[in-house]
Amino acid sequence: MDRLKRLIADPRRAQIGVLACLLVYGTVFRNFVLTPLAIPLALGTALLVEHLIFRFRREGRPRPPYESALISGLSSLLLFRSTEPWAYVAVAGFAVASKVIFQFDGRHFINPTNGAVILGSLFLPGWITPGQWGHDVVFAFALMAGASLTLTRAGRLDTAIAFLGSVLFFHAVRHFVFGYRWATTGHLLESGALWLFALYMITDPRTTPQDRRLRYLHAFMVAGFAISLAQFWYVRDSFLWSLFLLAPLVPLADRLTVGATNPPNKADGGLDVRTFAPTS
Amino acid sequence: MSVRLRPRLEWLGVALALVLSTWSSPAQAFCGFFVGKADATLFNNASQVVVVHDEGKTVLTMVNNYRGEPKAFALVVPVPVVLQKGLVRVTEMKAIDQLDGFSAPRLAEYYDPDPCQVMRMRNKMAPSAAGAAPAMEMERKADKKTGVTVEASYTVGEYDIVILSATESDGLETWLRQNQYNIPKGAAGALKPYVTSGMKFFVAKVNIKEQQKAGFTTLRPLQFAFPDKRFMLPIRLGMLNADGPQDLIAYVITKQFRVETANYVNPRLPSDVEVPTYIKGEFKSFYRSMFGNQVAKENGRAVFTEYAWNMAWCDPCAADPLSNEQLQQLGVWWVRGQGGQGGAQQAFVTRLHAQYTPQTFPEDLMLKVTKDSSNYQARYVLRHPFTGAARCEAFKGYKEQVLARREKESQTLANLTSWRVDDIRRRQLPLPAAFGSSDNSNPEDDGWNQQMQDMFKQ
Repeated sequence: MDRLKRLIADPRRAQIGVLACLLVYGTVFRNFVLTPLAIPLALGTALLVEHLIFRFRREGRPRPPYESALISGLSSLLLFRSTEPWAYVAVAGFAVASKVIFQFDGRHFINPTNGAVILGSLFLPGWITPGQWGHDVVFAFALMAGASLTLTRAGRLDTAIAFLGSVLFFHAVRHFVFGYRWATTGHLLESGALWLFALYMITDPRTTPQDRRLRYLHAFMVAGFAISLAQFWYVRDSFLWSLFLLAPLVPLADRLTVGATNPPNKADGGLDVRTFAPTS
Repeated sequence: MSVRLRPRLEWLGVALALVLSTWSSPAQAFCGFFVGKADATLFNNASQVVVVHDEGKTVLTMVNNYRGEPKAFALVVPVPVVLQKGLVRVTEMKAIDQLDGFSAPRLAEYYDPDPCQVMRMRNKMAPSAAGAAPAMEMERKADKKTGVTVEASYTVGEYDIVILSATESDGLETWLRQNQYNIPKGAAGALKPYVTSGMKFFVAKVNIKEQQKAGFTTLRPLQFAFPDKRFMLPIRLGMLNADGPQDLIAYVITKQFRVETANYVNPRLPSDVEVPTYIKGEFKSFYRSMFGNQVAKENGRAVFTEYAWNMAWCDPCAADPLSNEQLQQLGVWWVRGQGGQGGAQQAFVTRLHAQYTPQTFPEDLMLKVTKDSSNYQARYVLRHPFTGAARCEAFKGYKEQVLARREKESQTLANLTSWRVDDIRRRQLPLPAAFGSSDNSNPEDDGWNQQMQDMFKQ
């Protein structure tokens, strides 16, 4: 029992469980365009890169944060699609490595999977499939229920709610100003891709502002920018692009509020502080 | 005179004659013979549209399956820019029929070799006009009351075309009514998102004089080219006058990659499965049931990929790959000047099939080019047992294999179609004489089921 408690004490482990279930669900029931070989390759690469980073940087941890690597690997498998197994290797490896690459004030400011998947879809023989989850309401609720447990632990459920509220707000604008029917909002809210983004990306404690109000503002901006990108520039994976393009604002927001020399504390998100300790 | 507006993607069916002639001469292919296809004629009221897309440019060909009085026909399509006359033409059905045949779900059949002979069969791999009348340029001026501007107006082939821009959807609805278009209720609401996003409206109606002059009895497909960053199909507008589920078959041609839908789940149909040989005679009925079943499984909210293939070849070929000329007829601009007749063309076709209602498809189809050039086809396989004599011991094992295979085929067919497995077993074709008793389609069926059913019927 104690062992089980210890196992789920880290919210990242619960997240790994949910992401793995989603991957199985998608592969078995939703016919993901996913080469089976890609799964061990992506996860193996993520763990290996994490291990190598640990070997060369150490940073006083007892062991590499393999949980973080698995989350990046699983998330890339859920979002990225390719017919080339090596592209999954590249994306998963880059996702983990980007935590070291995209640093500012000691924090990696681009969500590792988000950045890797966007860059992968630009430069590799791969693409993002936002429609792959379908519009099954039951699925959305199951995902939400599973994720809410994770997020309650991580203390970021409020960010997800702020984001979804903002999506509703901008859809209301779309309805009243541009004449889109509410049914299109329902259609979006039933999309598995939106829930995945709301519950697992915009809520990442390491790549969103540390100040609660700024986090809400960030969620509001990401939602508004994403809906604008889709509405005016016809961008397909607009939520991922929005988060990616607005990422540089996060360290600025943190600098304004928390200060550069003050790394986030463990209470904020319940994560291992050593994950984002300053590296230089 | 009232002109009835038909702003839905409702297009011409496929010439049956062509389909029948293709059936009578099955083409040999790499593995097995192509014996049948489930083309667009299968689905009543199926709209067909060919979308040629590359680097923000689109050529759209809309097949007109309107069957009423030509003078009562009109069509409205939202387009991103004012289409100039030179970028609109009427085209022929032939190339589209060929594309339909080429990409249709198919049936292939195999004949088991003599199990008593060690034999390896090696089959060789088998490896599509515009008429324009003089333009009637109209002065571009906005109607002050409705806010509608006639941006361009011309006649192309048998169609009179106007390109409208509007400042408000109510005004557009009023303008259309004032100009004798009979538009369905609720049109303004459906038009509003297009008006607010600055789209123009391509409105075509039949010019009876031109039609009679040209001597055409059917309305030919309309084709137009435009810069297109949206890459979408405006299906919502067509739902206004729909009276039940509609089928849309979209053939999307890109340079080298498959296209998928970004806002709807886009599954592939079950493929490469073995089904009972009697399906050869009723492939269309099978395909319709199977497709309906898959639609139901996805709660009617999916766009299915029926075919995704490099257009240079096919296997098995339901129809020959399109020639350079045919591709150009479909608007594939980049093949112009490339290769000649019969040469490999740089084109990839994705055949998407959706069956939708206003409730299940609340948004237009947003398309997306992937980086997937792998080939996929909806292909169903028939395997005929060896019909010769049992000349060796090995035949016993073969017989058992065939019996097990037939049972599996029955189960597969029942799963795919929701037909009753007992009915399927009963309909299995009799086994050849060498297999002994008359029909062993189900090894456990000793005829008792049939006997009881007959008795209960009395």
